[in-house]
Amino acid sequence: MSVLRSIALGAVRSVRVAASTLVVVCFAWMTLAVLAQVFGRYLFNYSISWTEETARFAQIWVVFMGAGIAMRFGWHVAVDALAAMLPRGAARALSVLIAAGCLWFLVVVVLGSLPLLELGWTFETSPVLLVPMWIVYLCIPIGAVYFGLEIVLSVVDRWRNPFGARKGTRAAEAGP
Amino acid sequence: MTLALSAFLLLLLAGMPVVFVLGIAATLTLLILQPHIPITIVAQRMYDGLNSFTIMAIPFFVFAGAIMDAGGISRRIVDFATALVGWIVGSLLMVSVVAATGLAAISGSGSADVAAISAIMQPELRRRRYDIDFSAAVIACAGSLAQIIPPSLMMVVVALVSNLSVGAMFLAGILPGLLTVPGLLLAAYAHARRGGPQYRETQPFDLARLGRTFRAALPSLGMPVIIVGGIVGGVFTPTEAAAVAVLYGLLVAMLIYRELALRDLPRLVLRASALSAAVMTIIGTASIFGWLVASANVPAALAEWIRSVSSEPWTYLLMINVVLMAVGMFMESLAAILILVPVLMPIAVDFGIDPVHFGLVVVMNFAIGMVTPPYGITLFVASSVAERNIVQVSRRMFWPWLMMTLILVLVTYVPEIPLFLPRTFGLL
Repeated sequence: MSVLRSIALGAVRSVRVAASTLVVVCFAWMTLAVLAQVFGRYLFNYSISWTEETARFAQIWVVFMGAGIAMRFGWHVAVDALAAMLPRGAARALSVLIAAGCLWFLVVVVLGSLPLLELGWTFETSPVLLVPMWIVYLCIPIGAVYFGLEIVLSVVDRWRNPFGARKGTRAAEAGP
Repeated sequence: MTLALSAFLLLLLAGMPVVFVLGIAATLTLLILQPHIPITIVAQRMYDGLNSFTIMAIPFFVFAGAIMDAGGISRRIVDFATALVGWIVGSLLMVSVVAATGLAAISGSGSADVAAISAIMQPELRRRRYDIDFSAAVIACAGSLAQIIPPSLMMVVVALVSNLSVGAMFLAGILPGLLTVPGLLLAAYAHARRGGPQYRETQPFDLARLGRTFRAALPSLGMPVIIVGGIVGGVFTPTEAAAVAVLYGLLVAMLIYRELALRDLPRLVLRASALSAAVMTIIGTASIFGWLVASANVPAALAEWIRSVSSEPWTYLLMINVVLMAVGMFMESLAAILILVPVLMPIAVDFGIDPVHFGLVVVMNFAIGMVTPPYGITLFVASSVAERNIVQVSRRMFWPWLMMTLILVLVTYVPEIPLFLPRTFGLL
């Protein structure tokens, strides 16, 4: 049992490291591409054609993969003042129900991404760089599956007190 | 639509993350009312909503905010605010409001500002036995100034959906934002005057200290000049300005303040990515909803109904204020802007209301929505850092909330206040 457990924990850890690395690289790329666009225009009087497109694609990867990371940090805002008043048994049941609803939506998103992937696989390419578009669309199912994993983990993590305050994170400050 | 609304409220109050509340309510409505439309539209709309260069200003402004917090910029702004208003009765409250105003001009995210200010001020507020609930309420309100004073995430989205100049929106926010500050200071002062002796413990004014803290804060205050000046002067697009703000913030934090090292960067980027992903997935799922609203012919039906009940611009604006304040209580603000502004803006233009003025009225309504329960993002952050629940803090919200509402009414009916600066700079 403990062997299985440590294998599972190790797998989760490597998935998290992979997701975080990918997101950091994409965000850095996005920043550098837009800065290159500005400096290219003013310092070298040269406008680079691919900065906008690659920055947009990097942004989409950041958002779809970052959603799961935000879940892990507890940064998806929810109104849980009412749920926090429930007795523990009811709160646990509610947290499972909510997670099930979230997973259902993610399944819809994954199914919906399949026709896009097919389009990107067979003929659609990006306007400027002519990259096959499945490379971009792929972030939708991968991001959704990782998001789902973090949702399940968060239910397990918070089983003791599903809607109580989280330790070690400042509450949801992810907003405008 | 009734179905979507009731599903929305039920899921929201059950404690489901807002991003899923929006997505599920929209998908259910789609499945039941328009079953002939392929379900791939859900993934498609989310993708399209995020495949935008303009919206990229959001992750950059969020990153700039994270740098500001980690790089010692917020603390220097608080020091300067202390030297500026720390001698007034209720000094800690005065300092919180003035510092939040300064941060509002640097960052585009009110929740980040409130987190930064609360982290610095709450220990001190507690030690000096200030009313914690009232302080949290004031800090939440002051933090919402981030959306009224440029740069502002809400203004970027309003400009995006109604094809307005971001520069004009930014300039329009400056005067209304600065008018709100004395209102909040007054509410805090009145509270402090009625309070106990702890509110009278102040530091004497010291010109030398003011000069010293001002010099320390000066490099940070270059940020708004670059952002607003760059956009208004046509040097950068808003997204480029936000990226340049990131670079500038990094330079200030790493080279001038020396509080940020190269090895801190990956962690900071990860933080900024996750924070912006949380905001932007909401934009993604709200895009499904927005498409649904548009395709169900809601805009035309609503426009007809509104014309049947109000024939004057002023009654339309009154109605908008009442409705948007109510919406702001329950709805995430960027999502609400994405869904409602495309519907409401054309009607406003038909009534002869200037689109920039109308956009600013929308932004101020949703800025107030950030502090009103049950869903208010700066209220959440201010309460959680103060370790109080939102009910306790909301009880003390009335006076600062009233001040913001009075300024909203003023700006609604005196369009010259928001429109003066954009006109002066020739953007209107």
